[in-house]
Amino acid sequence: MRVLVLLKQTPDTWGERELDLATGLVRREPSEAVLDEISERAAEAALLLKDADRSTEVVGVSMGPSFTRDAILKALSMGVDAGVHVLDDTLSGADLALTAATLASAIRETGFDLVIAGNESTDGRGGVLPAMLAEHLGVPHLTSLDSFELVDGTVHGARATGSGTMDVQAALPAVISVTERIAEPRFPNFKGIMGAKKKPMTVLAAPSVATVGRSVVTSTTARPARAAGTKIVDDGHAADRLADYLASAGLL
Amino acid sequence: MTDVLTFVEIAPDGTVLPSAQTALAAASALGTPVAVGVASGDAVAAELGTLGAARVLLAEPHASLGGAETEAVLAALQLVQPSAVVLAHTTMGQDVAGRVAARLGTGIAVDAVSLRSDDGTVVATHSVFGGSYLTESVVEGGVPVITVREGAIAEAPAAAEGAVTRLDSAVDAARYGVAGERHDAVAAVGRPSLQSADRVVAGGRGLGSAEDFALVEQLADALGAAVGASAPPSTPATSTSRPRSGRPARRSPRPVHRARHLRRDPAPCGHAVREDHRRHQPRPRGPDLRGRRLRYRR
Repeated sequence: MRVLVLLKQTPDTWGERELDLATGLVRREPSEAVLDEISERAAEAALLLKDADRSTEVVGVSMGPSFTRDAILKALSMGVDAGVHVLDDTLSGADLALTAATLASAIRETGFDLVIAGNESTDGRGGVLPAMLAEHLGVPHLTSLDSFELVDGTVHGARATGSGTMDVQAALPAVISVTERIAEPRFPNFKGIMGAKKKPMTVLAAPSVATVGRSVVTSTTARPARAAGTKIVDDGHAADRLADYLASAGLL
Repeated sequence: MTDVLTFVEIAPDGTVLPSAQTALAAASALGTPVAVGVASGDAVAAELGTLGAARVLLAEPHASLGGAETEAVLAALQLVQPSAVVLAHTTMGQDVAGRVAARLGTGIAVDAVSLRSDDGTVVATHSVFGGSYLTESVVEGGVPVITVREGAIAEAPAAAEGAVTRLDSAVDAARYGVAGERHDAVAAVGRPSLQSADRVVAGGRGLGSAEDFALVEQLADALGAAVGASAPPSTPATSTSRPRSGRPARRSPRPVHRARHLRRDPAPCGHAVREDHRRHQPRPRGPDLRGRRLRYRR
């Protein structure tokens, strides 16, 4: 069985994340580009399948500029068997429609029984890509799974809904997305890190895909600096002033 | 006024979910909201009308996960020629938006915080990186599919008629997963949820202890507000399972993975929290990975 994991490289949330005000693209300099945490969890979910059944092949798939290779290597060092890197200058600034069509093409070319994605990335927070891929691939999607298991060629899972969970299932092949509850990602060990570079990494050029429309960012503005708050010192009238303040804010 | 196709989420028992209000309010900024949803009876139409839906298009439920919803939106697109398709940015909204946009091959804008029409062009505003940036996007070519952050748009549109049309849509079950039993885990807290609250009273480390946090709860109850907490992970005293208010929690009635949320979106908590985090970071060990310091993230 072949399990594909979608990997995304994102700006590290520990640093300042910045957008280029002229182009609207993410500025790469201020923060290190890392494998997104939710991608690590998706990879862990796939590796748990591999731990249970050693015949499972786990392939990491990512799309991005040349240094996205580092993110794929991170997944390989965790234990993923092979990487697929969709690398093409024409994909710079790709919107979701183009990204989904391109990834779907790469996934079809690689072949899959199960595609595991994170439910949403830390930078884009879109969460629509898994369903878009399922539509392109013509397979079922099960998104936002807190847990899942494979039984006789069917994936059963608990989907996080706004008010609890819902039991869902789909026959393979399928696309699923997992939440941060799925599993704690493992640390790459020394052997994994050293072996990662020797694992197969396929670089694919962008296929020619046609989309009807595309989303374009027209303007980007930075949030103005936050103004200082109001501090009320208790001199005997603090309660009155606090009430006045809340009233002036329309809260009373 | 052009029609704006608005996907509304309706629970299996026929209640209109709060996300429908967001979607209809967002759509009313662009034109006439035409609601599309999945319900077995026509009873929901009156409620959708009061929320601003001029027309209501309803399809029959199906056992698939998102199948009936997706096909209903696509069938509705045959009936109305909308200027945009608007959905709430919920799990279901995301799935339906993705499916519809991929089927049409059109552009998709996600997690918008406001919508406006600029001479017929739909402009979506997005709050990016925890609110550090505001970006505007448009979709070139095709009908834009837009998801709107739940609770981001407060203005309620005027009530409308909500005339019902039944949709005739077929679901290809092989393309969708199967939806099973629901396990609701919502504890009744008697306060508005963080996502939909007009007012939020938030507290954090400054309160000192869990007992003092009751002050926040009392004030919230007095104001009819939701309770939020900004407590960092290092102070377990105030780290109950209250959702943080800095970033609207997706599943507010449930315990929140606080540490993850702080790291995913640290901006609203200020620098102190992150520096706190950094101090506990283990010193990097291990070999160089392509000349770069290998960072252990946990």
